[in-house]
Formats: sequence, C-alpha cells, structure tokens
Amino acid sequence: MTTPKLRVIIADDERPARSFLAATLRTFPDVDLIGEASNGAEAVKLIERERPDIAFLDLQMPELDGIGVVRLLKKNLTPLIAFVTAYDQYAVRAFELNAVDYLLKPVEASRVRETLDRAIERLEQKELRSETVDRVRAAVEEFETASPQKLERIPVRRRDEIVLVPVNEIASVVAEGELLHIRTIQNERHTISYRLRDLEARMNSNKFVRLGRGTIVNVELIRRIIPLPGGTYTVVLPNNQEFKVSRIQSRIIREQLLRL
Amino acid sequence: MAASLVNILGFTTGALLYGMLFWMVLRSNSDRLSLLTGALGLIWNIGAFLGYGLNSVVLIGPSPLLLAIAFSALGFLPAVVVHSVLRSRVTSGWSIGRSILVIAYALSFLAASLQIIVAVRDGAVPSQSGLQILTAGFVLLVIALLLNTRKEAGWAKSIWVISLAVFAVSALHLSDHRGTDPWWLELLVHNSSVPLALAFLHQDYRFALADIFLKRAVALVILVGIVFAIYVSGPTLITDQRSILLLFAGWIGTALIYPWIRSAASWFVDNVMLHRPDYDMLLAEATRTVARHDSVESIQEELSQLLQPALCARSIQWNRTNDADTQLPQNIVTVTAGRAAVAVIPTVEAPRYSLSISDLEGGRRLLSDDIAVIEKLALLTARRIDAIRTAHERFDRDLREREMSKLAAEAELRALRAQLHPHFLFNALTTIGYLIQTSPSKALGTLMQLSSLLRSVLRSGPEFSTLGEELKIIAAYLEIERARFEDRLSVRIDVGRELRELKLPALLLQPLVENAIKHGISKSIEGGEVRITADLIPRNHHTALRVIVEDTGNGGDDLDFSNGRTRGLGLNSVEKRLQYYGHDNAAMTITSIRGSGTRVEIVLPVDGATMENADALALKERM
Repeated sequence: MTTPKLRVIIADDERPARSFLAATLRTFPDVDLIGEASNGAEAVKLIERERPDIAFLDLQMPELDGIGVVRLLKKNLTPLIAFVTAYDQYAVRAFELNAVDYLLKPVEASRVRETLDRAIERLEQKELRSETVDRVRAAVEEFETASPQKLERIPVRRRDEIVLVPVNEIASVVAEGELLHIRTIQNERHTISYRLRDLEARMNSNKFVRLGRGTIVNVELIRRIIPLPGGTYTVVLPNNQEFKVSRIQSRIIREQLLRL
Repeated sequence: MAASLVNILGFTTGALLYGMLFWMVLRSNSDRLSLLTGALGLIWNIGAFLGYGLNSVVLIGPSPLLLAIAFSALGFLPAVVVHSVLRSRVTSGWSIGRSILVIAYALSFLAASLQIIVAVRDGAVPSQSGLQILTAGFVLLVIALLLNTRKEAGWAKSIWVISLAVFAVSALHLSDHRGTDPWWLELLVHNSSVPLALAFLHQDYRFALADIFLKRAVALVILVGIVFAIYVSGPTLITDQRSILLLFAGWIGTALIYPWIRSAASWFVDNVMLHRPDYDMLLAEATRTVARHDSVESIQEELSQLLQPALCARSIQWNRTNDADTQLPQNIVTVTAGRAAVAVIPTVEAPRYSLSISDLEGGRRLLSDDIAVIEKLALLTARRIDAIRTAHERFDRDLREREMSKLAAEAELRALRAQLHPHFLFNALTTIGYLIQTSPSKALGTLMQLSSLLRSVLRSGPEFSTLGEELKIIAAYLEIERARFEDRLSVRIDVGRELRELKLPALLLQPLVENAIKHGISKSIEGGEVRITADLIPRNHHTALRVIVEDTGNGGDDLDFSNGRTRGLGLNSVEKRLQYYGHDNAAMTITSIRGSGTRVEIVLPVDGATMENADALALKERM
C-alpha cells in the first residue's frame, strides 16, 4: 500500500532560495510540492486554496513575512508550519522554546527529512496536529512581542484578498471581544483578530494613545477634546468618531496633550 | 653766627634721629637699654638745642641746670652702649666685663655729678674736668675692651659702636661752650652723637619703615650741609644787596635740587647702608623665570635661588598643604619680628604652597619693600601655578577625549570588520547552493566574490583605504546580492576613475550599501536599484568628496531612522567615524521617502594627507 504523499508549499521572496529548497524537497519521493509563493500574501492565498499538509515559510519577506502569514491564517486552515530563516536569533529562540520546526538556510536535506518525518507523525494523530498549530501561534506571538521592531503594516483579510494597512494611517482601534475594529484616516474600516494589548505594544507609543480599556487613537488626529463633569474627557476625531476617555487615561491626556 | 646755625641744625638733626631711634625701640618693644640709648640721645640733643642752639637766636642765656642734665645724659650714653654691648657676656658671669661695666657707669655717674655740682655752684656748665674724665676714662675702657674681646665673634662691631659713643662725648671738652668757637669746632663738639644714632639705626632697625626714615634723615643731613656751606661762604659777601640776592638764589637752588638730594640719599641708603637688592630687576627676573618654567617644582626652585641672595636668607623653604578647605589668610605675607616671613601662594585650588623665609644673614631685616616684593612674587607665582594647572587640566582632558574618540573610532572599525552579517552570509551560501545545481560556473563566480569580500572585510587592514578599493568591496558585495535577488536588484556604480585614488576611512561606505539592500531592496516586493555616485564639491573653502548611496526600495520616514540609529543600523557608526576623521568638514545627510527609496549623502575632506594625518592634525589643533 502506498502512503499518500505529503502536500507541501513553499513561500520565499528570493527565487534562488526558493528553488534550492524546492530542489531539495523534490528529492524525496513522498513529497508533493503543490505550489510556491514569492511573498506572504500569495502564501496565504495558496495555503487557503490548496490546504497543504505543511508549509515552509521564509521568515523574511517583504510586506508580509512568515509570521504575518501565520497570523492571517484561520486556525482550522493552518497547516503544519516549518519556518525557514537564514539567521534570526529572536525567532530561533521562540521556535525552540515552543518546539516549532524551523530550518536554517542553506537548508540541509537531512534536516528537511527530519521535519517531514515529524510532520507525518503529527498528521497521523489529530490531537497532535492541533496542538502543533497552537504551539506555532504561541511562538509567533512570543516572537512578535520580543521583537524590538515596531509594526509598520497591519495585514487585514478582506474576502479573497489581503489588505496591508500602514500603521501610520490608522485613526483608531476599538476592541470588541476578540476582534479589533480599525478605522483608517481615509475612514476605511477593517477588522482583525488580535489582542489590543499586543497591538499597542507593537505600535509607536509616541503616535498612539490609549483612551480606555478598549480604544487606541492616533494622537495626531485628535482635534477636539471636550471636558466632562468629573474630570474626564470626550475626544473627537476628524471623522466625527467620539471616544470617552477613562478616568485614569484622562490624567495622562491632561498631562500629555492639554499642556503647552 | 655760623656756629649758632651749625648748632641749631645739628641739634635738630640729632633730636630727630634719636627721636626716631626712641620711637623705633618703643614700637618694637625692644630692651630697656636701647630705649635708654634713644632717650639719652634725645635728652642731650633737646637740652643742647635749648641751651646752645636758641641762645644765639632769642638771646637768653642757657639755664645751667638744663645744660647740666643734657651733658649728664650724654655722659651716660657711652656707659649704656657699653652695657648693651656687654650684656650677654655680663649675665654669663664674665668678671672683666662686669668690672668694665661698673667702671663705665661709675665714670658716667662721676661726670654727671660734676656737671650738676658745677651747675648748682656757679653755673659754668659744662664742667671741663667732668668732660675730660669721661673722655679719658672711656678711651681707656675701649682699649681694655679691645684687648679682652678681640678674639670673640662680633667684637669688631661692638668696639666700633662703643668707639662712636666715646667719640660722642670725647670732643666735648675741646670747646669752651660759649659760642665763640669756629663753626667746625662747634659741629664736631656738639654733634658727635649724630653718627652714633645713625649707627644704631643701621645696625638694629633696618626693618620695616626704617629705610624710609633713614632716607629722610640722610637727605636732611645733606640738605643741612649744603645750606650751611652756602651760609658759611656767605658772611664775607653779606655786605650788599647783591650778595643777599645771591644768598636768596642759593636757597632757591637748594630747594630745586632737593629732589635730587632725596634720590641720592635713598640710593645711598639702599645700596650702601642696607645693601638692598634692586627690586625692579628682581621682579623682572622673577617674572621671566616664572613664565619660563612650566612645572611647580622648577618654579619653586628657581624662585628660591633668586630670593636667597636678594634677601640674604639662609633658609628658603616651600611647604605644601593639601587641605582644600583652608581659607586663604588675609595677609599673603606674615612677618615674624622682621627676621622671618611666611608667604602663602594664593592659588585658586589646593594643594597650596607657602614660602618660608628665615635665618636672615648679618642682621638683615625684612624691609617694607622686601615684603611688598615677596607679596608680588607670591601673587605672580600663584597666577602662574593656576595657569599651569588649568593648562594641564585642559591638556589632560583633550588628551583623554582624543584618546577616547580614537578608541571609539578604532572600535567601530574593528566591529565593522567582525560584523560579518550572518544573515548576508547564509543567504549568500543558499544562493551558491542553488547556483551549484543550476549553473555551476555562476556558482563558482559568486563563491569567488564571496571569498574576496570576506578577505577584504576580515583582514585587519589600515584605517584608511582608497575609494577605488572600497568600491571593489562594494561591487563584490552587490554582485552576491544580485545573485540572490536576481532581477529585483539592479546596481549602478558611477564613480569617475580620477576619484578612485582618493583616500577615505576603510569600510565607511559599506554599511550604507548594506542598509540599502537590507532596508530598501529586500523590503520591497518589486525591488529596485542601488546607485552609488561620487563627485567633488566645494565645502568650507576646501574641496570635499561627496559620495551618494541611494536606493529605490522601500524607504522609510524619520521615525524609522530615529529608531534605526539607536538600533544600530550602522548609520551611527558611520556618523561617528565621519566626525572623528573629518570633524566639521564632514557630514552625512539622509533623505528617505516611504515607498520611493532612501538617499544617503556623505561629504568628507578630500585632502588625502589631511585624512591620513587626521590624528596628528586634530591633536595639534586642540593644543
């Protein structure tokens, strides 16, 4: 009896690196390379269309990197992930802590084989598989918070495309349960699934200010501040969005914005 | 008439000198014998002035008792002088000295008694026999003293002083004291005590303001002499109005030459009587010396050598206090008994120094001028030491700063050499791996590029390189990246051949090119072009080399760069090294637009020599 082949995709913006990995994968008879993506957005589309068993994601890709791809994938559609990187201390540490598979460039055939074997093992047991996805997500979050790099763009899914929202263009972020509603300066609305606290940590603190438990606004857009009885405020943005400021944050507003 | 004038002037001078002596002794709390000497001399001169000086003017005969007291006072003068000279020996139980002393006082007492007796009995003061007893007795005593003390230290001075004292009385009997003697005899007879007063002043009271008094006194004596000379030559002519006119002219002439007399007197006092150093010369020499040396120790040594002969001091010592809290004393120079002085050098900061001068030779006292000079020298030295300290401080600080920035620059270079970005390296190896499978010859080419790049970056080469050399490294680097990014990266290096020989710090441009790839090209899906251009531009009156590294990649805003600099994009390092090597003539400008790329422009001095000798030149500049 022949075991079904492993369905694999690769995402890397550098063609030589992609081809090198593809050539290595093709040497294994039990691998079916079903697609290659040259950037993060392509990778998301490819994964959701092809539903591969395992995705080899390059960590460094322009605009949407490997981490961003995982972030955007719905949990039940997330395949097994093996990150590929030339050199990244932070990421490697996060992966090792969470027992997430990763490959170092230039990829070695034997290491690829090990990864494939582990994948086969996990695919055979359902619970192992979902646990693996959880671990990947945990590693991704850990890596993001550990990384000193500030967020430049927020990838947002919209129907069958991915919109990259530059952080600078965000007017406000309002939390609602597990979802975050984003309004841009152009008054576009987006919704992502992310924790407000994590997002705030990755945004430039000079540009964004927390108004309460569930709101962050772009400081540069605040035009009017209406004092309320009891020492709190209401903040009004140019798009006429109004936000109540919590008592604690009111003090910060007073100190940071209402002083000459 | 001439004799009367001599008497008036002579006694006035004598009274002044003895008065001064008396005052000096009183002020310095010296011993009673010296006080007595002054008092006796003063009594004699005042008494004699009233007796002989005035009688010719007011035509009142001298009171016999007054004259007797004056003569008695003068008679006691040699005895007191002998006493003060023999004092130390007498107290140590020297029998001959004691007997001489007893005889001396006995003689004076006998003479005084005779004067009083004569005054009371017939008013024929002075008693010639009394005067003769004094003269004869004291001459014999001096001879006896001469024989007894000739082997002792300082005997000559003692004898000299006593002889003067005897001389003061010995001439008295030559006159008949009736105002009929010729003027020169009157001078000799009545004013022989004046040299004694001068001798005393000279020996014991050269200190403090004595020199000023001495100068005045000598000037006065000279003036008196001149006036008298005119007057003496006058009487033969004083018959007509012309001679009165002449006399008048003589007086005016004397008044006119008085300043000259004064300066002559002060020269005499300074150089002959006091052996005083030339203060102006001393100060000038000291100023030169202090300015010439630039260590505290050598200044101290030189000043000691200058002051020692000038002040006749056997010991000149420098002391040092480290205590920073010590307040400066109100007076810079503190004098103890005219024989020793301590001068504090009033430097701004501790440690402070003080100069102690002591053991003055040959009875030398510190005069007011000495103290003024010491004070000036102390101030001069303090300012110089302050200046030396400031200069040293500044020099040390400069040296430290220089050293630190040099170390920093070297460290930057070392770090650059060691900083073989692993990311780049592994990506390059991946590329080569791919090329081996698809195009072995291209793989070999890239491998060679990588080898030569590694070699030039890793070797610990000189701090400076040429633009051409640097561009070779950059070209190798960009070739490897081109193999990796393929058509996403295009490269244009547009630098004229003539510029390639220009010197610049090694690996200065490399980080800029790496940034262009890392943050520009690799962050963009479409990729872009990396362009390197160079030209010469004028800057601050010099020619400067301008190198522009630009890319049409991702770009960023100010925020990214402010983050980037602190995160070590390499820009920080480039800027530091530019500053170190080029100072104000070097600059780096970054312009970046999100989505359309980044442009980094660096400008640095073109003069190869300047760049190479930057260390030496910069150091010289700061000194």
